[in-house]
Amino acid sequence: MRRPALAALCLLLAAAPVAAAEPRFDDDGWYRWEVASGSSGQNACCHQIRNGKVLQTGCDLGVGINEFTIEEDCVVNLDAVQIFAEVRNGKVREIRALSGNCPVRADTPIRTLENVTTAESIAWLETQLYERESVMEEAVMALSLHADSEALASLSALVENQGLAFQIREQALFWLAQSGTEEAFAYIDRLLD
Amino acid sequence: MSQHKPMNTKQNIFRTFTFSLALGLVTASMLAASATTVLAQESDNEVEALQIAAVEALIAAPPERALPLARKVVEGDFNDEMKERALFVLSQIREPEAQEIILNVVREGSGELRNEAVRMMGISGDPDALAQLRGLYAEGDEELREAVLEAYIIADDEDSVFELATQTTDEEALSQLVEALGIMGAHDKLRQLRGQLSISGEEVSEALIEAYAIAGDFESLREMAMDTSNPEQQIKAMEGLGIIGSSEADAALVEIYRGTDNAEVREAAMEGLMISGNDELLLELYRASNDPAEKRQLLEYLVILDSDAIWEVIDRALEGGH
Repeated sequence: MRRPALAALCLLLAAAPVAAAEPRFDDDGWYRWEVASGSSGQNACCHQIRNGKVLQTGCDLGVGINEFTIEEDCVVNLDAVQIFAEVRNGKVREIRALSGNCPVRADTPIRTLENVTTAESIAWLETQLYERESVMEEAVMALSLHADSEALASLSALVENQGLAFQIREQALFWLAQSGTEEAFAYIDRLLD
Repeated sequence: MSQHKPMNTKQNIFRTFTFSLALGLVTASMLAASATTVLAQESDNEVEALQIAAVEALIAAPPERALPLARKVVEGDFNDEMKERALFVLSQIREPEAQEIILNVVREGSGELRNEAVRMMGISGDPDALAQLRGLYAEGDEELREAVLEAYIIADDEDSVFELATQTTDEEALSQLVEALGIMGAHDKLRQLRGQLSISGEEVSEALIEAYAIAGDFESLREMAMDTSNPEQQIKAMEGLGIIGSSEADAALVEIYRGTDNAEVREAAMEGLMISGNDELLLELYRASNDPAEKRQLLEYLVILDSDAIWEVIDRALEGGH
């Protein structure tokens, strides 16, 4: 493709409004959807490690994030990240983001939402940034595990959002740095100018 | 959510990646430019807080990415708070370049930032960096010497502190070095040092005994507590045994108490047991003592310890016993 044409396409895509439908949770319980993962989302799972050996891989939902680790040597899935949300009494109580093939156990059935796009997933997570503290922090982490460019756009927007709690902006910076991408560091570099 | 046309996960991911590729090309360049524009709208305090958060976030970053940014802060026009955080990031990077940046601050910097850089050399634990601190200690002012000692304590570098202790001719400096060895629990080095000290004095002697106590060196303290040739040192050593507070240290105090007629030494032994908090042995000494003044003293120690044993003593007294 010739460069002007590519540039025009890029601008067109960048300017196109993203249809972001919020996930609807009709009942209480756990919901799950899957979107493309970025470099940070490839190895997010729970590992029980003893003496440097991974004994068990897999996460229990509803027990906090005690055993959650991001292990370089435990690549679970290169393509996808699973987002989990628990609704209780009509409110989101917990959000978990785990690599695509990370085994997950829950006491109650998990309802899978089909066809959630990255933009929709990000848009919904961004609505959770004004909720309970733990949900806010889980939402930022979940955002960071999305595809690199979308995660970068979202996290940098959080950093710059003066309406957000400062700790959320800090968290966004932390996950930007954790991503390790060149673009994220170019952004942090400019912050330090 | 389920109002969209059905699409499987792979299609969904493919669609997202196609979009991501195009969007990414645009956003990457736009985002970098946007950062400073947005920060320009924030107050100085907010900008600084965000910049501090950015530097702190570098801890989680791959070293090859974090290092240039940490260098930028350390060598740039930032305040000391920012630079101190960047120094910490550098201390966690196992690259000679990172250590070199810290060392430059130590060599060319001044005040608290220089001292913080020294501590960061300790945190890094890099042997070459730690070796360079010895020269700085010799040439430095009191604050720098303290920072070097802190670095050695952080790095648990007994050898360097021991070497400095054998070389110094300053009593106050030697006391600090001995205290550092105590904090590090360097039993062997402290024992070795006792025979190699080039200077002596009350301050050094006290520091040595305190260091034995902090390090929990029962044997050395017992030896000094049994030595009647220097009563002042003996009493101080008994206090040290009380600080150790182990059953063998308490037993040694009772042994010294029973083996002497010297009132001062006996009192030091009782005080040692009080420091140790051993009310059972104090009660035992109370029962065995025939000296009213000493009994009163032992009773006072039991009261200070808020010991239940005091009720036993009162009951016995009310019953007409002793």
